[in-house]
Amino acid sequence: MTSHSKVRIDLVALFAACALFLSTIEYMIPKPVPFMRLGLANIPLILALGIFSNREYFLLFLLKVLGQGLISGTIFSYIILFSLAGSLSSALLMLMIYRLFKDKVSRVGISLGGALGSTICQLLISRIILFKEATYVIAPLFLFSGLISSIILGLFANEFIHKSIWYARLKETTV
Amino acid sequence: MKYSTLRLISGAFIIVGILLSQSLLLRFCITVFIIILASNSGRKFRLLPNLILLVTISFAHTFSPYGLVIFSIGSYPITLGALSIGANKAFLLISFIYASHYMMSSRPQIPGKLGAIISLQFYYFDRLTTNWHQIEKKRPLIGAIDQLLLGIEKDIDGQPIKPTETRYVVKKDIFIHIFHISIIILLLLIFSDKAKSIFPFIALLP
Repeated sequence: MTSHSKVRIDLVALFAACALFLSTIEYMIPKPVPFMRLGLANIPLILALGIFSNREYFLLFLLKVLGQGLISGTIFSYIILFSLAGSLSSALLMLMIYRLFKDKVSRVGISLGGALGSTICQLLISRIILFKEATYVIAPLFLFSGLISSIILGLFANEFIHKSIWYARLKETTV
Repeated sequence: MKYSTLRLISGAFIIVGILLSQSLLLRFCITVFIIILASNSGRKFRLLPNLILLVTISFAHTFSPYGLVIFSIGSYPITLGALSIGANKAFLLISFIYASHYMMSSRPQIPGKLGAIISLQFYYFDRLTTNWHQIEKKRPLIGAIDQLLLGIEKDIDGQPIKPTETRYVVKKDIFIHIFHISIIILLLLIFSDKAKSIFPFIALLP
């Protein structure tokens, strides 16, 4: 492994640590409905687009899911399945949108796509194994809250990309 | 075996203990125990930030009223269940932060590629939790986050993290760490369903 690729792996670990840190902040915020999440830990994933390769991006996704499971105490329960499936579909969609459209779509659009993918995937799993027909009752609330939080996260990511010196330097050195 | 690896293993057992604990009192006991361990390994303990964390998380949870109403502020009910859930979460967080410091302060190297990345992730997490209070003081937010990340980024040089504790384990270390894990197991046993059936008063504890 070259020194450059080692630095990139270090950066993946730093992004993963940020996701873990944001998971702890999110954990402090009460949820009106179980399973409902702000998705703060997705910010590093949104920012990582365009910095990391696909492989590094999925490594970050894996570390984020494990960290989230550890913080919320769900790592040994079936709830980690929801988190894993939701995060995977969200990460896949965000990566696809970014690779297909590059700068034509803002981080708000990418974040919205990711949230939509994650919510639909979680609702499908919930329909199959947990709430059955009752899923349709909670679906609108889930979708709506997911969309709102993803817009806020996307706006923050946009702002961070434009204003952060750290991020600008990182992009210069890694891309 | 290096001392840092032994501490990592015992920390992993402690984290499993944190995750298995459900009762508020048990989580409190484990949190206090972990704070003592982390303080011994060099982490500075400050009561006020932890107290603020506990109070704010507990209070934030009162927005979703649950359980017995203890008192009301105007028409706003403060419920025991919501406070208890909030406090439980706060203890989980505090214990996790101190446990990760306890595990990572001697910068152990987890074997394998993924292990190396995970140990780095926890090392940076420890740095973030130690320095995050900068964000509160500095404005604007993005500038403060920048400052925090630029400070941590200085360490990124592509070199594996060097253990600060390079000595090898002696028998005494193993006994001490087994003792630490035993305390966690003992606490879990005291609050287990089996113990509750033998000593009913345990079931009355929060």
